[in-house]
Amino acid sequence: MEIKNYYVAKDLDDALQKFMLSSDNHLLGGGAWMKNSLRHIDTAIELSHLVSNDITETKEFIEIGAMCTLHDLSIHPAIIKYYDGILAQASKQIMGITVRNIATIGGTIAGKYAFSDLLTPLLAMNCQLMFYRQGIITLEEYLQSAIREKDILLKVLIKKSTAKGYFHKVAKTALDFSIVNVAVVKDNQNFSVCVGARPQIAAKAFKACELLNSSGVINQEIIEKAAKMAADELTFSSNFRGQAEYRKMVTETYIKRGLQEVITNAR
Amino acid sequence: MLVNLYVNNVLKKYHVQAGEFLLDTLRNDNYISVRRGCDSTSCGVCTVLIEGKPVPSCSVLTIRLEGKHITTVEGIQEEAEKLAHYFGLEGADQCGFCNPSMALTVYAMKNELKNPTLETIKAYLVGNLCRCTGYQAQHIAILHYLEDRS
Repeated sequence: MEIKNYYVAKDLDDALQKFMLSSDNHLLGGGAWMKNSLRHIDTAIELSHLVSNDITETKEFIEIGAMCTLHDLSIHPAIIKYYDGILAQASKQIMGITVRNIATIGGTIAGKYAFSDLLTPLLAMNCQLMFYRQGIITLEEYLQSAIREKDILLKVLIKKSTAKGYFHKVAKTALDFSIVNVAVVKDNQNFSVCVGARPQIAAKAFKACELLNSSGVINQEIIEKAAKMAADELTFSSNFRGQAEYRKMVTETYIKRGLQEVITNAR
Repeated sequence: MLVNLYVNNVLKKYHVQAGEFLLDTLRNDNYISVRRGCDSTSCGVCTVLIEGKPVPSCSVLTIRLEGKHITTVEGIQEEAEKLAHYFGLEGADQCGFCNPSMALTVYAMKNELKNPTLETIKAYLVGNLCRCTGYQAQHIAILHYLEDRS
């Protein structure tokens, strides 16, 4: 890959202006996937001194600076505590420690990577994104939009909750990308079922969630129906990691297990 | 562009291009213990420590590291020799290509984790591939190395 210029932004306004000058100008996150995803960068814009890498807690939210590395995410007590630690679990299973020490949550979200293991639990937790210009939007809204105006992601906001969570990654080896990944969250009586690496960007199974949320008592029959509904409503494709049919089958199985787990272990 | 790095605690001044990666900077300066493997973040043989943390040098731009401390295996020679001794005892050392990166990752693990279990060691070393040994002898050697308080 080629990088022509490196620019240390003076402030966020300066960074955004530089970013908007050309489609070949890119903001630097951790750089873990840069070589594999970009061939040419005219100007690489440095932000690490302007965007936080801290994880802080307010009364209502866990706030994660966009420059926070996946390793820091995987070991932080608040990330491990809430939602049964599904975000920490997902982070811990991404590549090796060396990659987790450079890859950032901001880079993962901004890249909208189809193979991402982080987007799935983040989506299930209904997290919000704080951008420099647009302010706060939901991750769901961000992922659904095909084209977005250029902006700088500052923080990821996760609502503190006693919700139960489940995450499972299906992969051939510990170092490989997911064949598919599944996250299930039960927050009181609200269910969120999300599937990623289909191999398309993480998505919520809306019909399945609606069925679960409108059913008073969740029994085995509802669980099986919801799991099948989710696998049917989401689209799957084939690539060298797995066939669409296989992805669909394992998705149904792991959603079923996820629902059983969050219901059985409900507080 | 000029970048000042502390490589194994020695101040080095490098003139680098915007797109130059740390792996190239170090190898051009004859730190050839930093290996070039996959060159795409997967194999771990290019591992160095930046401020004590193991990172893949093939994917870190040198220009971003102004003033940082970089450690190669030469910077932890005593510990690396101790680990090599246990690798030798277990027959865990074959072609040796992955050993410098393995030593650096084990060194970082020793500093980060207290009394890691075999499972924790395996999880920590996931990103360091070895194509010769099958890992078992290495894991035993690492356990013995961690038990050695000398």
